Amino acid sequence: MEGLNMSIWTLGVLIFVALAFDFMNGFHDGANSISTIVATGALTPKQAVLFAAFFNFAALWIFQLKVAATIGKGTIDPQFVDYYVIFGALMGALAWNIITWYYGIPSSSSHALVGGLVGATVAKAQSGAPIIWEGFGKILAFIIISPLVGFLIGGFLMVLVAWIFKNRSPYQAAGFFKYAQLFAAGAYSLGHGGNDAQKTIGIIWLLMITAGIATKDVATLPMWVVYSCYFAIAWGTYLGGWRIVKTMGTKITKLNSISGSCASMGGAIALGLATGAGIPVSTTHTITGSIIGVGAANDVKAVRWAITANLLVAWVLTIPASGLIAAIAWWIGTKFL
Amino acid sequence: MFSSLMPQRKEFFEMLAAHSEQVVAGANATLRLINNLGDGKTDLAALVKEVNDHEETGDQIKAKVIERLHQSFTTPINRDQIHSLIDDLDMTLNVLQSVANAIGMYNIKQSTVEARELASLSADACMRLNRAVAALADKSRGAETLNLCKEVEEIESKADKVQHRAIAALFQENANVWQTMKMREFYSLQESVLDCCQEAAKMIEEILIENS
Repeated sequence: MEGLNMSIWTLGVLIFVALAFDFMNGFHDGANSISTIVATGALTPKQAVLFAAFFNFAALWIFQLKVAATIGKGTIDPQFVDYYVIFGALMGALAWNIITWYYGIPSSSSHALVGGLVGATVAKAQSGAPIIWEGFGKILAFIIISPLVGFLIGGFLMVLVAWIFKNRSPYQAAGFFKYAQLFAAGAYSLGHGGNDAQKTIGIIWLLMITAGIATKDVATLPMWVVYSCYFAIAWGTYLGGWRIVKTMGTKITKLNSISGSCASMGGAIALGLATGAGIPVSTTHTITGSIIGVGAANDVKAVRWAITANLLVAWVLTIPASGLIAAIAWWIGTKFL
Repeated sequence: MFSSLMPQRKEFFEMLAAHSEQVVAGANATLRLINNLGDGKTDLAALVKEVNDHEETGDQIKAKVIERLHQSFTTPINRDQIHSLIDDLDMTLNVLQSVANAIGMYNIKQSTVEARELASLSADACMRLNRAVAALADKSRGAETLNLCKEVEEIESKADKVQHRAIAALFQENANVWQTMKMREFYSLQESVLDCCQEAAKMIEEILIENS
């Protein structure tokens, strides 16, 4: 049974690749939360990445594994999944992440992962049958809903802050927001870690179901999987630098400590709600929506809608592009692995 | 969609308009002062006092605007632009005050055709400036406001020509040296009023570009 002998080794490699994906996710997106605290000088870049990394990991103790469950057993039928599918899915998502990271496009790691998973599964099944539309449909719907919710909460928070501080100059209010933005960025990092680390947990869970190590019961999932996923995303965030920070913090609209706090807090609330409900959403989309909402409250013309439109194109492309790469990677995997 | 829910702070427009009304009143009092100079019937001191009073009221409004800028989280237009515009308007009024007070200081007994012309041009420019400031709050009147600013700038260049003609007339042969000295200074003060109006008009144009 050559296949079985290979499987332990393959399982290890795939878990490693999944953790690498998780690491990349932190590397890619983790900086979103700290763009404003660095831009406003509340923390140095080094302090800020450490801060974000810590809260990404701390999400472990806050959220239940509902998002992991949606990815692990709610998007595609686990019985169609084999190692090649997971390999294809991870390759598709990783490749797409690196492409968008290189070009500085804040696309979604989550949709890249879901796109990869669905793309590789459909390539294997040669049909759309394995797709669980209840879960996948929810993910698709939240591509639209999560930035909208971010937009509404971000904009609403900005309006609320403007009324609370109505009779103070922004300069006076900034004193308060120097601390508030740390709170907001911490909350956002929690939301990011909670939602995104769980997607990888979901993938590894799926892998373990396939290998017969775990079942659909969450209690059978080894705790080291959970810890290592949260650690990978935190570590990625720490090393991620701030290439994307520039796009998010300055290109869409100018953020200061006040609008930055509102944007982070708006993103954090929206993410917290989604994570609590077990919906894998894009953290990038959510914070982008929130930043736009805040920009729209301050001044509609302050939002550079052309760049926002650029982001939209990347969003629409993410699932098909990562799905396609995943299908190709699956095919290559079946030939050479 | 959220911007309409933010605190609107329309009082800044009202304060700017109130200040520019003081500018118009100051310019009209200066015009009467110069037109009636030497007729022996007009109470010149009362007119100078009127200009001084408008200047003082203007100062109070400016102080109020700056105080409010420190107490407002949001402003209907850019904070710096409000500050610059109230500065330009206040400078216009300060120079008008200098013109009115120069008459006594330089002991000018008779006005000239050019002095009357310059005074009338500044009253005209101030009146248009006032209309532009008053329309600033209404975005649908952008084109009209922009036109008023252009007119203020045209009046300013007209005033430049009048000033050149006036100075040329002063330096004719056999000119009275004292008369030439003081009137040259006086004309240049009068022209400064229009320079200030032009500055304010340019500021309004800048605001319109950003908010159109």
